[in-house]
Amino acid sequence: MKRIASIALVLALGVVLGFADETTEIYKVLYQQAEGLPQKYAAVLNLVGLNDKSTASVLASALDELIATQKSYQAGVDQELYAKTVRLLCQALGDYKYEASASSLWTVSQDVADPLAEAEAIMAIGKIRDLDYAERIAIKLRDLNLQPTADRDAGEKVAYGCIVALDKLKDSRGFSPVFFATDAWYSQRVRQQAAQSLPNIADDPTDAIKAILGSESPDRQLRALTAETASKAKSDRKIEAAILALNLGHLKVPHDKAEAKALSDLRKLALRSFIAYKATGADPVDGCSSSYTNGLDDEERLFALAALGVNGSDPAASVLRDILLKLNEDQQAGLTDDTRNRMAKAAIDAASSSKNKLVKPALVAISINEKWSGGVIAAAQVALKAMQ
Amino acid sequence: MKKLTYLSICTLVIASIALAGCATAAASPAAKAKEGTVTQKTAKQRTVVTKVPVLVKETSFYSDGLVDQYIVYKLDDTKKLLLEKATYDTSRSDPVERLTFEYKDGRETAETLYESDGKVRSRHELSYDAKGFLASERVLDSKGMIQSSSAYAFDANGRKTEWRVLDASGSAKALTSYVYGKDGLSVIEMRDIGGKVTGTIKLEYSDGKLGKRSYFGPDGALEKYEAYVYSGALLSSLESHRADGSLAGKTAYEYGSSGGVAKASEYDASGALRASTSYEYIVREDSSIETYYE
Repeated sequence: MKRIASIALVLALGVVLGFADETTEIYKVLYQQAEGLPQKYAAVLNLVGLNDKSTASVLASALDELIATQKSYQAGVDQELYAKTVRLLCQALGDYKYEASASSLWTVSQDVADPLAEAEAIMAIGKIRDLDYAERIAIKLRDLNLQPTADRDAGEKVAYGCIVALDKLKDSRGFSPVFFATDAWYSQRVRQQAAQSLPNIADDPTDAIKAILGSESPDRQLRALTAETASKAKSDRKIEAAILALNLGHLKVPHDKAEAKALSDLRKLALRSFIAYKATGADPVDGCSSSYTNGLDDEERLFALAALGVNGSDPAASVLRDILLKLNEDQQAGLTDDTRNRMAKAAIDAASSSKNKLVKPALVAISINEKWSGGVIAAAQVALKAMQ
Repeated sequence: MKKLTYLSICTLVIASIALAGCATAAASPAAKAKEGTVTQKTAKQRTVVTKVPVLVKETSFYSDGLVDQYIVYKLDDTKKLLLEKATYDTSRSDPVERLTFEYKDGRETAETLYESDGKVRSRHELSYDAKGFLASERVLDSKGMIQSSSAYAFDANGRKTEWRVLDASGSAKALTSYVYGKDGLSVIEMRDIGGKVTGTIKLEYSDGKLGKRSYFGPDGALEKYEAYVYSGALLSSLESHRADGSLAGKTAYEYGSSGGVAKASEYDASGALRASTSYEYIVREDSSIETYYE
């Protein structure tokens, strides 16, 4: 015999869901009657422990009063208790998403000289999701990123608060400072939080990422493009960023091998993005062509061929055709090696993928050039057949 | 004080099951006797398995459906005692706070609240009288210093009749008294230590269920009230009204197959969704022996 016990759930609901009751009313009154900081702290501790949203307006008034009377609590012991009380209030107001308290919370972040209280206030604004403060928090984090604060620990705490808040605010203005926080001077914990928050900040961070691509080192450009590919931006936006990254990756002259490698990695990621998101049209073609001609290694050249094939447009097919004809010409002239064979096979595959008739004469030329290996000729014939 | 949240749920659920079982066993032969049935009945026993929904997770959502935070409840092996309540923010990997529970002889004796960095924020300690009623409770800060305490009194039926709040020095600060009517708690009166009324809450029932909770200020004027709306035996919504009767907000409840609240949705006065919370349960099966007549 089985039965579902639900009778008491109605009674239990009040407890589960935190209905207002006499405890709330009593502690509200006790806070209002509290004299001196210790009594206020004790009342706040009880009030926030109730987890009752109906206390929010009382908590907000308490915070305003503490902000206004901050100068009264200058002694060391008072300062500590003051900061603890402010932190409790900020956290609760954030938890209750009490929108009316946002300006008070921002005042705490500006005026209260306790890094934990400052961080808590900023995180509370994030929880409230008041976008009016997104830019101000982004600027605060940007400034913190630039160099270690005199008190490193204090700066880290505030930076952490900014990152968590920007994560909650989900405003694209927060992307860039959180991106730079991932490799700023902070401890691993803060940098990890930035890396964890970065994908959550904006569904489409393309504009911010394009700005980073246009002004940063190859390492950061690569991380920026990686963030773009991992984002929820639409494919055409990801392609837009990849085109810029590829072009910039070709424009920049590397200072050393490490930078050359970083630039090549950037270009490869851009080319892989073209393949993954099926980039078509003329815009990506020049970059692909440059990667085939000037790529750091065979892998980059092979990605370029594949990207041209996926592209399939007339400009892309023309480049593929020219590549195939040049390879065929060289083969005819007796220039042959494994790399050329590999490139030829990849170019034939790409030509086949392009399904563009512009590549047909080049494929015919290869298929009748007996200097190619049987494998290459067969590949060209299969490609031709597939295009008919 | 608003305490024993999770334990209260378990206690209330178990109590109601026990009552339901007794009613079934006793009513059956009595009813038949009234009808003049003379057939001899034999008392038999059977095992009753009761399914009890046990809350294990709750998730809070913003009005646009984005997850804000979630709470994970960790239970003991019997799934009757709550050991830990950990609150996670979706933006952070570690719990933003952790509340741990301690028990002795099956009763909760303490709760300790930890900050995200693992440091103690506060601690509540509970003690009981010889009859097992909650006698007192005290709140300590992170350094173990008493911040406030509470003392309770109960009547012969085990109903709370008085709650006295004391400050850190032990001086009484407020006194709350509880008055009961035929349906249960009917009036809560709050006074300061000088005896002046600081507020009153009146509870009204309909068909044995709480229907309205009204809040009155020190001058006796109505300040606000809450109306409980039911669908059958289950609470379907809780409406918060201002003194003039206008709606200030509403929370609507949906129930899952386990019988527990599956979702609570908060609406503002205009009816716009402000936030919601979903609840996940595991089902505990409690076995008991029931006597019946055949």
